[in-house]
Amino acid sequence: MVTAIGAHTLRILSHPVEIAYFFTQFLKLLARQVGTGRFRFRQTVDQLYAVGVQSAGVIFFSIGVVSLILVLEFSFHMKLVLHQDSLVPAFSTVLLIRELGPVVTALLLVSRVGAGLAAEIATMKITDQIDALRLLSIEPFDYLVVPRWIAVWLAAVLLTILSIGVAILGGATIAAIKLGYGFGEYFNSMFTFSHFSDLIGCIIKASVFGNLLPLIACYHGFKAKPGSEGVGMAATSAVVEGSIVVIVADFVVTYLFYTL
Amino acid sequence: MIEFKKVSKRFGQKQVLNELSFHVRRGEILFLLGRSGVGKSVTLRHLVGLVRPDSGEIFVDGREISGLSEEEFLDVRRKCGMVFQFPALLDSLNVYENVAFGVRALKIRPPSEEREWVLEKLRLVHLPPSVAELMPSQLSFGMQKKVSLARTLAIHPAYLLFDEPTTSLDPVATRVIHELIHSLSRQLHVTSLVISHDMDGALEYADRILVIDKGQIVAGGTPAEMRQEKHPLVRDFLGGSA
Repeated sequence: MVTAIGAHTLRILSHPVEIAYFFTQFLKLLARQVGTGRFRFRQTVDQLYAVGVQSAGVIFFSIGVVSLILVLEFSFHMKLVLHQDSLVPAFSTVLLIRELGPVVTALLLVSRVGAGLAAEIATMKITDQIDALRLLSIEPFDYLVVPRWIAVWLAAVLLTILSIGVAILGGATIAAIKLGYGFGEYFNSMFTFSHFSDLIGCIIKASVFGNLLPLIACYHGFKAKPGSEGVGMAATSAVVEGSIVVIVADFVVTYLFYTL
Repeated sequence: MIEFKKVSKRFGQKQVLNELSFHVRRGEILFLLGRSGVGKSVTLRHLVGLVRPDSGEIFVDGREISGLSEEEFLDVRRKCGMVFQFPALLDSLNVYENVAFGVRALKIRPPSEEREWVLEKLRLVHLPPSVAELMPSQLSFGMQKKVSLARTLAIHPAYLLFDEPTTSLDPVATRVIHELIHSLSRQLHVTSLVISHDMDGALEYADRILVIDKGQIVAGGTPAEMRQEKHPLVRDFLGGSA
């Protein structure tokens, strides 16, 4: 019993160390790749298509629905407290830019892309594809991780900015239909509380999430145990840890950027 | 020549290889037989640096390789082409790109000669050029194995290492793969080390057979000698009960 608890504790404690080692290996390889000027352009474009273009529909739809709920809820609460809802466009926009845009996009990317990347690499591992790469003198990190990392990073930033645009349109539409706002009126008042620095903060958040997600997913793919159960576990762990990391990183960036 | 000298390897509590010693002569087809989990695949993986020994020495053409760095292993990996138990083809690339992958990475042929080189390797494994544009998922398992073999041949190795090449294949496809191993070894003058469970195939196609158990060689000899071998495990294999 004591041995089992000890072994479990050691496993838990060694996990962050292993992830840190994986990140270090990745950074070393990235530095070497930048130094030699080698860049896998085709793989990166393929991944950008798979990650960015193919995720866009799900993300835009989801954030669009979130924006509808946001506007209706803000209206309800403002009417309850202030007996009017004239600040709905301003409040919903600032919340979308500072928080919901980057976080909802990142969480959807975790569930769609993180799980996919982890499962893909795990399958490659258990079917010897990664060993085959090494035997052909291709560094698996170089071939698999770097293009995915660049693609997810770029996609996270671009999708976040575009999804905020979609959400603002969605918000303006529901405000026009349900709250009696004109589109012009909505767009004129939506930047009352938003500043350019909010957009910078939003891009920083998206960038941080976009950096961490693919590395966590790839880490779990490379660590996968044999068999279909191993692939499933890798995908699940990538989603769970990716989601936690997004939430914690969101707090850290918010704290550093807006309170210091 | 490949030579293992007292090579030991342990994974956790399990001693997989226990002072394993054997050699493979230049140009021969050597079958290494054994039950599942006795260290056959681990033995093969030592040769290409995917696994490192805890102790002992491994020689490839007189060079001791167990202590080589990843970069130093590149020469050995170019010399020892390995065909995995699974075809291990890259799913995102078509057949042509899979076979050409190593050719480009290792600069085996200039780009102008690449296509001809790749199609020739496909021909060697009895695949028509029309297969080149197909994706791995469009091929049968047996055909994927052939593509995997073509990819290995494309890097022009001196040694061919086969990790259970006939696993999951039907008897006809098994025979085809065995015949390919035999004919390619003779035709290309390469040395072949084949990990297998299949004593019938070994007796028909091997120059020499070794039987491994508990991380050590327990019996060995030519097919004719193995038919007379008294070791219980060999008798089990000959009886088809292993």
